[in-house]
Amino acid sequence: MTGPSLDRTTRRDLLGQGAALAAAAIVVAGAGRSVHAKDYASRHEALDALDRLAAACGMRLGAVRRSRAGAGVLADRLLTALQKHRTTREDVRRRFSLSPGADPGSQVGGVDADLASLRQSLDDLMIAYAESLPVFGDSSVVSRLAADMVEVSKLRTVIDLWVTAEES
Amino acid sequence: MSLPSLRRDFIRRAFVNTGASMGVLHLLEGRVEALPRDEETDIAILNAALGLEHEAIGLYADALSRNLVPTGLREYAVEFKGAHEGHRDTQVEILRERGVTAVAPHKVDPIREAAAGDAVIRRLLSIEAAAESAYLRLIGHIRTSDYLLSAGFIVVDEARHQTIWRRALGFSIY
Repeated sequence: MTGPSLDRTTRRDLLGQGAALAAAAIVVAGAGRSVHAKDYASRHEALDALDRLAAACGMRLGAVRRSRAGAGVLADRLLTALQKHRTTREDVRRRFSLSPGADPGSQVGGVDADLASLRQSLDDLMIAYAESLPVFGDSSVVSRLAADMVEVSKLRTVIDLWVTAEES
Repeated sequence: MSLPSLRRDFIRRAFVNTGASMGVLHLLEGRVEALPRDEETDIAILNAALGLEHEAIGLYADALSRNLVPTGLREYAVEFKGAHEGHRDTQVEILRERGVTAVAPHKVDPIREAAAGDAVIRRLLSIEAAAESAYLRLIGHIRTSDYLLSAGFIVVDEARHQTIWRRALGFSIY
């Protein structure tokens, strides 16, 4: 038996009892934007969004590495992780015979080295991963993308701890 | 006991206590590679995940009520217990939507340690590592979009909790 679908905002509220993701949802709600989960119409659209958001994270990480003494080792590890995730997404594109994603190096534009902005970019990427999972409809692909999503959550937490340490 | 052993022990206890599907347990133990993607599997995964959440909530409650969490980390433990309660409530609601009664909380074995310290944090870390590992193993077998979406949101929380406890213990976090 299937009952009426629970509204996703309500579900996020339930999830949000102390959950990190709730912070992102609350920020989005506070900015007056919809808090409903995004429904991706196609795998292609989802992968494009993930590529774009990951590239933004990479640009911000690069800025942090250039501007903060001692950030090089950590930033390089995080950039390596993001590159590995890009390889996963390219594999997924090939599996579904989709056209390649945009080269992240082709994205231009200045970003600052603000850690809070980097944390927000990683939040956006993490949420996009979660919201994109239903569109893939393939067990192994969902598992691979979920593993990358979990790694993004860990990257996001590392930056969050860094922000907290600087604020205290 | 090593972290992987604690993780296996935790998963088995949580599942046996809730009477969860043997198919799910066998998948988690690597004895089968796949489950059919159908409503029955979704419900089995939901009940198994609920068992994990009940176990985590019980352990955090035990640690907090007996002041076993070091003072500087107590706030995190309170937050993470709340997160697990949110995960539980979400999955109970999804089961209710499907007309299925959720498994009740089971009795959780108390933490052996008698004083706050790293051993307790290692125990809490093992719960989070087990939960992340289980969700990642199961997530590809979830059929319905709404549950898959929720599971995605849940597993990123488990990853965050695990990272915080690893940092507290001085383990590598990245």
